[in-house]
This record gives sequence, structure tokens and C-alpha cells, in this order.
Amino acid sequence: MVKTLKILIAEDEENIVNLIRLILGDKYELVVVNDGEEAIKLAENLKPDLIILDVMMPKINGFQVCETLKKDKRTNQIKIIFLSAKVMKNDVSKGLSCGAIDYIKKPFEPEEFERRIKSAIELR
Amino acid sequence: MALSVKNKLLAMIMFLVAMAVFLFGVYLLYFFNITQFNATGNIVLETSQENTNDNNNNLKNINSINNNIGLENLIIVGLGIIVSLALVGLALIQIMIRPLDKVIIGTQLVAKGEFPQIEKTSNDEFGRLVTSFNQMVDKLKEGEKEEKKAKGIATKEKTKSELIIESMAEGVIVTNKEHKISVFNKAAENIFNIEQKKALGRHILQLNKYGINNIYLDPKKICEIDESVDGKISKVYKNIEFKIKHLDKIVGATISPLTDEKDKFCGSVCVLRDITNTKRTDNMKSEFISTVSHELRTPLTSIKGYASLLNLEKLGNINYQQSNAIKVINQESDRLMAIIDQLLDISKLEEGYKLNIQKTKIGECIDNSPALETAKKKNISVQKNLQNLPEIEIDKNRITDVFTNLICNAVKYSKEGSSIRITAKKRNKNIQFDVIDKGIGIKKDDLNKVFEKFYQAEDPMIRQQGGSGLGLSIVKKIIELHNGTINIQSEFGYGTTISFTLPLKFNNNKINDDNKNSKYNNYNYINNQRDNKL
Repeated sequence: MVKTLKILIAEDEENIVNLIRLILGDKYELVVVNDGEEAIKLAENLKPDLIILDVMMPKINGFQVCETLKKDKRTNQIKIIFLSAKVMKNDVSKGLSCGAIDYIKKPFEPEEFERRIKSAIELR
Repeated sequence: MALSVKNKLLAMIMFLVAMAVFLFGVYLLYFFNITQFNATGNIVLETSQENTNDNNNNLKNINSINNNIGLENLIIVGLGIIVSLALVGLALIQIMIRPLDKVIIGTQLVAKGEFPQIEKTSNDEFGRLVTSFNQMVDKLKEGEKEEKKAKGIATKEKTKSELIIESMAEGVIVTNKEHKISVFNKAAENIFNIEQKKALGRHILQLNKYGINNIYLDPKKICEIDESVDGKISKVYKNIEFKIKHLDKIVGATISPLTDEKDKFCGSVCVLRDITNTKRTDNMKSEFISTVSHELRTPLTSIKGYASLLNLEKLGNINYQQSNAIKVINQESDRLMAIIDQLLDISKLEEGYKLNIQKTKIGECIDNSPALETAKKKNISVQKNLQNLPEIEIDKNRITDVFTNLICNAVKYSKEGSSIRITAKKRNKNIQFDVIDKGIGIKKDDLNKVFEKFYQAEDPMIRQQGGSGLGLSIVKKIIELHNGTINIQSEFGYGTTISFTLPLKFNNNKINDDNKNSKYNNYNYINNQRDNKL
């Protein structure tokens, strides 16, 4: 199967990265970074179709990454989905208001997670 | 026997009349003697004819002397009358004016605040006047003594009240009708870092100059005055919180309007507390719970995620036993998740939660509850009897949480195939709901503890069902936030009924009134700064 869609995963928890690989790895091309700074750099260079962004990350947190990318003309078209254990109402609304198209709370059901990623990446 | 003034006057007049008669008599006597002298003179003239011309001259002289003697007598009589009158006048002054003078001087002294006693010199009317005057002065003296005594007590009390207000740990600001500060105690000085003398007499909004958020000390926010009802207070706001930015302080204030005897607004009294530390602790607690929740969710994501993948056989085929083992991992992960969520919920409710009040059909809260699915899985029917209920003002999501918790509890402790009944009836301005199950019930000793946090009955049958012991605490908090009440009735072995009330109309202010020490209130500055977190 030819993987035409690229997903950038910004997540510092290795177990969760591996879990995502198991769920999405056979359908999409996955690129992983472990901190916010790397996420911004790679987003500019890689131009992924979707970014799965954790909130609590080293160096720059997910909200700041999202804001930076949305302000940059080169990256503001990239779709962003938050995947976070920060589940407060204000966290969710902050994530969505800074430009993300979805906010998936940890823990998640693999099947539901896959569905939401699929519908987001295929959204035109 | 003493003579009265009237008698004295009569005596005086009689004396005058006697004097006048006497003087008139003297005058007549003199007049009579002169006439006799004239007759003797004529005889002398008749016997001496030789000197007729001289005699004529002498006669003229005699007549002239006679006339002079009459004038002298008249002057003497007049002088006598004048002297007599002067004597009488002096006597009158002695008798009447002097005692009056004494009384006049006495009253002048009384006017000056002294209490003189006048010497009584007679027993006549003046004497009696002096006696009355002295009695009056005595009474005044006694009255002033008592007044001073009362004043002394009042002053003592006032001083005592002032001392109490001054030494209070809470700041106290009292304002008058014009919202000008009339009392500003030591603690208020410390809270605002403003000297008392600078604050007194100023309009309460002038405290803004010192960086105080004007919205929260705006007198209009203390109470609403209904001009249509003769200026009476129609609505009272009691608890507020505000920030003093430049001092980095958070202050909680309880404000009560002062009313006069006609219930009209005449000022307000504001009690202030520096709650900076409490708020910081609350924030730290909130941050801590948020962090703990985050840190627990992260490993749970892996546990649940991998277990699900295993169960879905995405990682290869599994046998029946393996499948059961994975199911247990999943169930326990869910349970752990529920505990984390409930911890988060109770933390938010305790911290201060702003309800999203809207008119709601209560049936929707039950129909939307995921607990119905739980009941269905255990083949338990949920029967609701909510006929003719009007829409009520509630936070729909939170009341759905209430029903979810109560139905889940009922399901948990009921046998398969049994039923749960939910009934509602209108009681005055409230609606009472009963959630009735025929489950295992609760022992009497445990009944009053079920709403406590983390409480779980010791009974192994109940322990077996698991749970965090937080569900009913959350329910109670939510009901109380709606100004409702909740209670439980149960018979061990026969089932449980949990009854709660919700007001038809939500009253913002009642929260403030009823939870004076609570952090939940409508003008909670800090909480308004945050988003709802539940």
C-alpha cells in the first residue's frame, strides 16, 4: 500500500508514539518528534498533511507550537489535532481556538482515534 | 406671722396715705397759724394812726411775708411727699425686686449650666418662688447627673464597639448614604495599605485611586434600590471578591446594606478578608490535581490503548483466557479513569464552579444519561414518572451528572432484572425527585456518611461493587450549587431512596446568602477569570 499522506507526530511519550504507530503506521507515513521546537522546524520543512500534537512537551508546549504554525504563512494550512491528557474544558477550548481542528483526550480508544484521524486528514 | 407681698403692698399704700394725711394736716396747721398772725397785725395798725403811710407799707410787707410763708410750706410738704415716696420705693425694692433679682441671677446661672441655690429670706410669695426655684435646680442637677451617667455608659459602649471594630482581624468599612467612608478600621488599613485618615470621608469609589478594581466596590453592586417602592432595597449582593493589583492581593468582601427605621438605604457595612493565601492554596491544589490527573492519564493511555489493540487482535490472535485478562485490564483502567475524573470533578466543584443555568425539561437529563445504557446491560428497567412537570432553571449537564451518578449507584446495588423508579412532584417553589431502588440497601450507621468524600460502607457486598466513594459527594455538591437539598432513606436488604429538591427558579443571590463562607458566588472575580473546567 502506497502511503501518500504524511502525519507529523509531536509526542514525548515513547509508549504512546509506539501505540500510534501500531494504529496508524500501515496507512500513513509517520514522522515523529519529541519536543515542540522540533515540531515547528519539521513542520516547515516537511509540510505534513496533519500534525498530531501533544500539549505537555519539552521546550515549547503544544499550544505555542500550534499558534506559531498558524501565524506562519508557510504552515498555516497544515491541519492540527491535539492529543492530550490535559482534559479540562479550558484546555480543549484553548486548543481549538488556536487553530486545531480536533482535540482528542487521553486515554483514547484506538478505533475511535483512527476514525477521527481519518476524517480529519481526508477533510478538504 | 409673715406678711404676704399683697399685704405688704397694702401696708405700704396705707402708710403712704397716712403720710399724705399727716403732711396735709401739717400744711393746714401752718396755714391756720398764719391767718391768726394777720389778725394780730391789723390790731397793731389800728392803735398807731400817726404812721398811717408806714403802716400801709408794713401791711404790704406783711402780706408779702404771708405769701412767702405759704410757698415755703408748700415746698416742705412737696419735699416731704417726695422723701416719703423715695422711702416707700426703697422699701418696695427691698421687699420685691431683690428676691426677684436673686431668682433672675439664679436662672442665668442655670442657663450657664450651673446649679445655684438661693437663700430664702422670707416666707411670702417670693420665698415660695425661691423654694420652687431651688427644687427645680435640684431636679435639674439630679437629671444631669443621670444623663451624665447614661452618657458615660453610652460612651463606654461606643468606645467598646470602636475598640472591637479596631481590633477585628477583618477589615471593616462603613459608608453612609452618599457612599462616603465613615469607618475604616486598622485591618482595612492593612488590606488597602491606605491610612485611616486618608480614607475617612472619601467616596468608596475613590479607593480606585489606590488601584482597587472599581467594579467590585461599586456601591451599585452592593444592593439595588427600588425607587418605585419608596426607595427600599430590592436586591442585595453580599459576597464579592476583588483584586488589589498593585499589592498583589485578593480580597473577599461581605457587604450588607444599612437601613433606617423605614427600611430605606442609609449606608453599608463591608467586612473584608485578605484571602490571597487561601486563593493561592486553592490554585496550587487545583494545579496539583490537574497535574496528577495529567500524569495518571498518560500511563493509562498506554495501558488502555495496548489492551484494546490486543483485544482487537491487531497484534495477533489471542485465546479466550487472554481475551478475559485483557477485558479485566480494560475494566480496571476504566475504573481508574472514572476515579481520576471524579477527583477532578469534586476538586472543581469545591474550588468554585459557575453553573450554566438554562430552562430545561428535566426528562432530557435522564434520557441523556449514559447510566440508562448501564442499566440496560444489567437488564434493569428505569421507570420515570415526571408528568406535568414545568421546565426548571438548572445546569443541564450537571443535573445529568446527578441522575447518572444516582442511577449508576442504584444499578450497581440492584439485582439483575429489577427496576429503578424516578418520580417527581412539585412542592411549592421546588420540585422533589426520588430515585428509588430495591437493591441491597444501606445500614443505618452508614446512612449519614454516604455523602462524605471517599466514604464506602464496610459491608463486603458493597465493597465488592467497587467505586471511588466520590459519586454521592459530587451529587450533593451539584444539588447544593442549585440551592437544593438532598437526603437518603434506606432499609438494609430492601432498597434505597435518594430524594433531592431543585428550585423551579434558580436564585443567584441565595448562593451568596447561604454560602457566606463558601467560595461559590455570583461575583466571584477569580472564578470569572477562569473557564469552566468541568
